Amino acid sequence: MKKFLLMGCSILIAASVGCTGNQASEEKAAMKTEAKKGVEKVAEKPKCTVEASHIVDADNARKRAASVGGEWRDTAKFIKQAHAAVKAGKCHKAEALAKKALMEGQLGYEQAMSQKELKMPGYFKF
Amino acid sequence: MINETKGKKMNHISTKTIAGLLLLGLSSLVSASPESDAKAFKKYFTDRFPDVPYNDYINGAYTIDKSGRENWEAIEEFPPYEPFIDEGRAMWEKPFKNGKTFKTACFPDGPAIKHKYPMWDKEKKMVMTLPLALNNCLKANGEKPMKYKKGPINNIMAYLAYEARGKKINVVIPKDEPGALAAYEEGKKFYFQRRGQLNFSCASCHMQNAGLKLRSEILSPALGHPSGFPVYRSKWGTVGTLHRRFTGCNKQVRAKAFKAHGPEYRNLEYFLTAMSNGLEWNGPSARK
Amino acid sequence: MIHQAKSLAKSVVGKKSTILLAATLGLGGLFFSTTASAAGLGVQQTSAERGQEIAFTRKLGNCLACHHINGGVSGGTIAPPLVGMKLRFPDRAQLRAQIYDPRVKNPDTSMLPFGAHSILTPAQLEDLVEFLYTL
Ligand code: HEC
Ligand code: HEC
Repeated sequence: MKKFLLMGCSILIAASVGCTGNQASEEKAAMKTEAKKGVEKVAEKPKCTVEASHIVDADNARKRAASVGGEWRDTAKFIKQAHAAVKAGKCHKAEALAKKALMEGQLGYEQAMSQKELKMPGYFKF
Repeated sequence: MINETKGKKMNHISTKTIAGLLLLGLSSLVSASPESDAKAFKKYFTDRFPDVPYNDYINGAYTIDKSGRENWEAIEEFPPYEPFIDEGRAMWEKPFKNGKTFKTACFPDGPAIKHKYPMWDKEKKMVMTLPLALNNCLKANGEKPMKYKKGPINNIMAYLAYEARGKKINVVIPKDEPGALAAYEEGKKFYFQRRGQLNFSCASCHMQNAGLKLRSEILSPALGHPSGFPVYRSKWGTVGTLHRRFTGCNKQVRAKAFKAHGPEYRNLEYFLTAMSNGLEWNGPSARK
Repeated sequence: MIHQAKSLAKSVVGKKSTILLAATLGLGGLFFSTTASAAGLGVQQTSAERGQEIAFTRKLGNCLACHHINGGVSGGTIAPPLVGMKLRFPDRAQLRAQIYDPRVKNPDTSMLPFGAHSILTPAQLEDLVEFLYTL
């Protein structure tokens, strides 16, 4: 079951990241670097400086949501994966993950703040 | 001139009305007590399921899942949690390194103590749960505390639940302790707060949709929820505590779970258990 | 003791079947993501077909958790069956809005805000609408 969940999650990410089409361009970029490597013999991984700063923004948004009890389940995982992507030089992937995490942090914060006071539903009243 | 007096009069009236409204507001605050809350909570379910006898709400989804009930009753006859009770008894009786036991060191009324929790701890000014009290006892006696979700905690909780079977749920929110009511209110707010990417509250599933099927799973009513814990779940392949269940229910709506026996879940347990005051404790039990 | 083993065995069987179910659904998910990225390679799948997979796949739309949908197994009973969608929602934008954020129409809804909480992408919402119009 756990395995399935993990698999499912990676599918989700693959789907969401893949859908944006970054994966394809990334692969092309990777192929280009591979090709260059052959010529220049120096493999320089891209540094993804801008993307790394976006991950910091996303993590701050996550922390802000957590401070009001509104953090979502997978946000921290996306941030971790984004860091790994930066390390691997996959800047597009890092950016997509950071964007997703940032949005989750913001939505989680708003969700919690909109319910700071007890909000009773229509189907039940004390 | 005349207008001015009129104006003054009106001012006077309006302050009076405001005072009156304030009073009304205050009195409505007072009347919304945990006792009246529990009444309304119970009524919600007894109205929704008029054929279900009140005392049956200690059985989770099987309270209303007629087709699953027979299979469950067969399982309960040869309960899968029995070995856990035995292990727990051994833990209860085994002396610490300092020679004391749980009973002599911390719980003189034991082993039938589960029904006293969750309780308001007047000294610590917080809700005390039984697993937390057990760990505090271990630490105070130079022993290693237990992990909250997996392992030995489930054995001893199974044993202590078994010893308190049939006792009435009776959570007390002491009136002379403002912190206790505040903790209860926090737990209540948590219960109705929508959270996670899927945007559900506990109440969305266990009140609004109780008795309905989420895929092929019948959603259990919130009334009586803590009674059967800890539960042996086939899905877990072991016994698990109430806070492990809270964790699972938070995660499945894609919300980050809170710490077991941290303030959020302790207050939640306080509220949720108080809503079931009057029903019996019926742990441990078996679940799908 | 023997009986205990029996009941344990029973639970193992229960577990297997969920795994099986999960695996089938998981495959659905895999199928979806590969076809999505393979779309450019000429794999034929219409928007409505993709929509159906989104609706039936647990990790995507999982509409079956709550709705009965013709062609899907073990639909939930929380929500009305999804039928006659063209009749119920002649306006495409309204149907999309119901999936994007059902809270707008009903603050107490137990349906998820698929668009507003980015559970599904805009393209997936479009595929879903296409699929719903076949119901
Ligand atoms: C998306 C629906 C959903 C939400 C939201 C949800 N749960 Fe659950 N919960 C379930 C399902 C499914 C089960 C297993 C079947 C059952 O017993 O209802 C369950 C089981 C439980 C049980 C065990 C009942 C038993 O007798 O074994 C407890 C206690 C519980 N939930 C508490 C909570 C609390 C507290 C919250 C809020 C933090 C919550 N649930 C939110 C779906 C949900
Ligand atoms: C957790 C339960 C749940 C899930 C999952 C869910 N829905 Fe719903 N849906 C509802 C409920 C409940 C309603 C009834 C209206 C309301 O309460 O907002 C509804 C209403 C609808 C309606 C309007 C039906 C009508 O006849 O008016 C449509 C269309 C719909 N859902 C589509 C979907 C689609 C597509 C999905 C999957 C992407 C989905 N739903 C997933 C609970 C759910």
